[in-house]
Amino acid sequence: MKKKNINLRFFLLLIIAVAAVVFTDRKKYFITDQGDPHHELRWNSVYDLTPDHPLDIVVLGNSHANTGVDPFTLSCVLGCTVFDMAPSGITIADAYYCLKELLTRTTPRLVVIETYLMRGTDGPPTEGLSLADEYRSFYPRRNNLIKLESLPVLFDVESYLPAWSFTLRNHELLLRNRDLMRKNQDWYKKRLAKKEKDLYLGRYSRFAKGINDSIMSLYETNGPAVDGTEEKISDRDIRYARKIVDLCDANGIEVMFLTLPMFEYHIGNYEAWRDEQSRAIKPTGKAWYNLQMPYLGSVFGPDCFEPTYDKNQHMSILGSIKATYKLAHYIHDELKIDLPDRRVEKDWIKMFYAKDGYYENLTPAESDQKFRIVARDVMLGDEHIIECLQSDDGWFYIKVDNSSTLPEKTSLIVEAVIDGEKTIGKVDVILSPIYTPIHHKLYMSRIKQEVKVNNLLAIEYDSR
Amino acid sequence: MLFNSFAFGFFLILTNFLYWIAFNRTRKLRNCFLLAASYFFYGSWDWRFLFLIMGITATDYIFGRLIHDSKSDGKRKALLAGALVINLGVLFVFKYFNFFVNSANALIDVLLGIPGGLRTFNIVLPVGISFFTFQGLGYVIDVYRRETEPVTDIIAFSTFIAFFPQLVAGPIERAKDLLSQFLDETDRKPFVYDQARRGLFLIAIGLFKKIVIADRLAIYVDAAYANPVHGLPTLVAVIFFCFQLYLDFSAYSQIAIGTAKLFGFRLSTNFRRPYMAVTFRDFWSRWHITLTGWFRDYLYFPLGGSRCSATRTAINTMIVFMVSGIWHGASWNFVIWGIINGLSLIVFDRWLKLNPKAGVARLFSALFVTSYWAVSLIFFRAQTFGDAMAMFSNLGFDNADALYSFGLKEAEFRFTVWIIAGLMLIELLEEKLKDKAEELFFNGFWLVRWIPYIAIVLVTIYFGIYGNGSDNNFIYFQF
Repeated sequence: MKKKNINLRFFLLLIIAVAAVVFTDRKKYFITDQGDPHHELRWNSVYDLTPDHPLDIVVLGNSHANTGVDPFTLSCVLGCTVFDMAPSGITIADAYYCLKELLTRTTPRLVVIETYLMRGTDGPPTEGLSLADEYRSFYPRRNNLIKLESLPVLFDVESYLPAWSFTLRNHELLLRNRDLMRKNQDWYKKRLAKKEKDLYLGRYSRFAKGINDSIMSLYETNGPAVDGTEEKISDRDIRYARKIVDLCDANGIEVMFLTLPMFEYHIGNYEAWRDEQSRAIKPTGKAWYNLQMPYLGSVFGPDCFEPTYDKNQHMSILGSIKATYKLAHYIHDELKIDLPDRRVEKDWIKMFYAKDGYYENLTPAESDQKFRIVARDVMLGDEHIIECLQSDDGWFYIKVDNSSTLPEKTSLIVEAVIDGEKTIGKVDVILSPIYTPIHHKLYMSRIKQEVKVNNLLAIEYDSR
Repeated sequence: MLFNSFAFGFFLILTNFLYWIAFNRTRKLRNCFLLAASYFFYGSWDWRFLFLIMGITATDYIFGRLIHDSKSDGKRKALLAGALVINLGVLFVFKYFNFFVNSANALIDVLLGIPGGLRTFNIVLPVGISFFTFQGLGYVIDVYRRETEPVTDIIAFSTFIAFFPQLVAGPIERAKDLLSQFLDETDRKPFVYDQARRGLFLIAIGLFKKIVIADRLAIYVDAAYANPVHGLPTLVAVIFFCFQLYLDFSAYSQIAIGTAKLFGFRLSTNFRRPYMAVTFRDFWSRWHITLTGWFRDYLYFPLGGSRCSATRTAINTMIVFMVSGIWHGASWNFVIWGIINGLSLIVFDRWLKLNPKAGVARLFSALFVTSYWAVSLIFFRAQTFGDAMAMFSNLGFDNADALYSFGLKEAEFRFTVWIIAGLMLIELLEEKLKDKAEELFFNGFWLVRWIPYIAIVLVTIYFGIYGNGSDNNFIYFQF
């Protein structure tokens, strides 16, 4: 009798099953994340950019970092390339493997570890949102060896196979919500196609509005949403913080820790939480820039935070810009690491041109469509004006030397055209409390769109 | 480690590979490996349970030897009694102690009007305890009856008690059937293609039944039993549970048998299309066959069986069913369930036997038997007597609109009903064709074989409920 090979038949069946799953995965029939393509975009972008465009600073974090650090602004302020490797919901163990994969493509000069990665988890998640977040972070990673290595750390054994496939984990949509399946798929494809045209650096700006009165009243009635004494750091957090630092040390990469803030009324007994965090950070001997410190409360007002009373509060867009500038100054002034100056690289300028933070920190081209150069490199009295710009939507920027002693509120006498009529007028500008570039000071104003400033004539200010 | 978990999948692939590649050299090596794998499997629930299973194994092994070596009948009887006391004592402590204490407290409360103060244990029920103690006891009784020679190979005996495919929920095997396979002296056991193929198919069918149908039915049944709504939703819950229990347990048994086949072992059939039964006796010869057989051989026959007066036979039947009820769980609901099913044999079988055994009458008999069984399962599924009564009082045909508010949306509900109907149709065909169906399936034209293989695998992947977050225990694991 002919000897039959069961392994061959078993593997044939297995191949058919795997092919079917791969097909439905590729078609993205079973995505469930409401069309949020950020996880996939993040890794697509890493693999598209590198190695031709090295990432100089990498921010490791989760949703706190991807909403709280604006990589475009930070890039423009520091003149190098910054990337938020911050998939929502991940823990520090996942961040370690993200960094490990990232290092196969590029070697940054600085890795910033956002401390909300350390959330007291002591093992892989087995259910709920934490597991879904871990799946979503894992799936788009491309280095299968590192993915395999991370599998037992990030997942319980029951999640080993679903981690590789949308189909295996979300196929119940077939019977439970086919409409959502179709909607998700359409939305996802549209958003992915739209976003992939632009430079993507891992940012997910989500909260345009700050804390409102109803949330403020909750603080008054219920007290803080987070009790610092309940926030713990686990041994796993400490272990993986150490592993990230060791990995960076082995690759000659500087490391710092960053704590992005929540609203000051949002957290009670913060000192207890800070002490916990320092248990993980202190032994590494690395710098820690803590924006949650009480003395910074006045910098980050209610408009800097997501309007929520949930424990997990993110920064608003405004808050993220403030935090980003503060981080930039810290890196420049305190860390003093040797970062490349890419402001002279044409490719880099092309990448970042007109992106968030560009006009505030860098010089537009003469032919710029959005900002018109009013004056460049002129002296007004004793003041050296580096640049004066006016945007088509009325923003008026004056960049002066850092050594300038101009007060916060200043007026400029300008020559302008209004409805075709030449005139001389006064524009009040203030030193921007939000945009605080490193290489110059920025004064700003919003003027009527129909006013076209043509020339700067003088500076007026109250010398008292 | 559940059969329907990925963990078990990895475990099975690894152990099977190692078994055939590295350990299939001598009987001892094979058995040592299987025992280690089985203890690892059992220890994955709670490593402390290992001491229990080792203790039961040692007890049954030693008593088997002692009984065999004893010359006097009195001593043999005393030793058998000792083995019974230890095995059933362990079962009593872990499974029934709290039940009896609670019942005694309730009785004191009713009779004396004071709250009973007897204290219960805070104790975890070891998985599969009812199954492996019965398997061990069966061996000791067989040795006592001189139906089996006592085994001298402690490794083989330990593997017989702990063999992981059937450890936690059976089939409950007899020594003459399974132990003999562990004593097979062949050095290099031959790998039989057909056996492995059938094993894989049984595993695939079992997984399909469990995670595509039974676990989906569980969603509805759990919700409906938790918050019964009057009318059709409750009636559907009763019907669904009838299918859930069958599909869940028969799936487990098929995976167990299939897994054993992959290692070259034969296990007993546990289910043979029970919902095709036309009498209650017929039903019990098809439902949980190994347990029914155990009770028949070790309880019903010693009580006198049916070779006595009609009254005595009826009493014997009721005793067996009450014990079977309490075997399933430490609750009065299970006792009532046992009584209801005992009565079915005594009262209805005579009447059912009068019916012709063909055509429509056969269909109605099968429907009657299955419906009666489904209703009896209300006591099996409900947590308390009050819950069971609530289910009875809510049976009806109204509120059809509420059918889709118990966790299954309309599409999923319809899918479930159709797939059950399809499965029953296949069982009906199997019933008609008997062995021909299997022959056609396993030895027919390749397309006839491969289309079902592929269909089962793909339907299981795309419609199964699996992975983290799904509550997917096998029902019989609790016993």
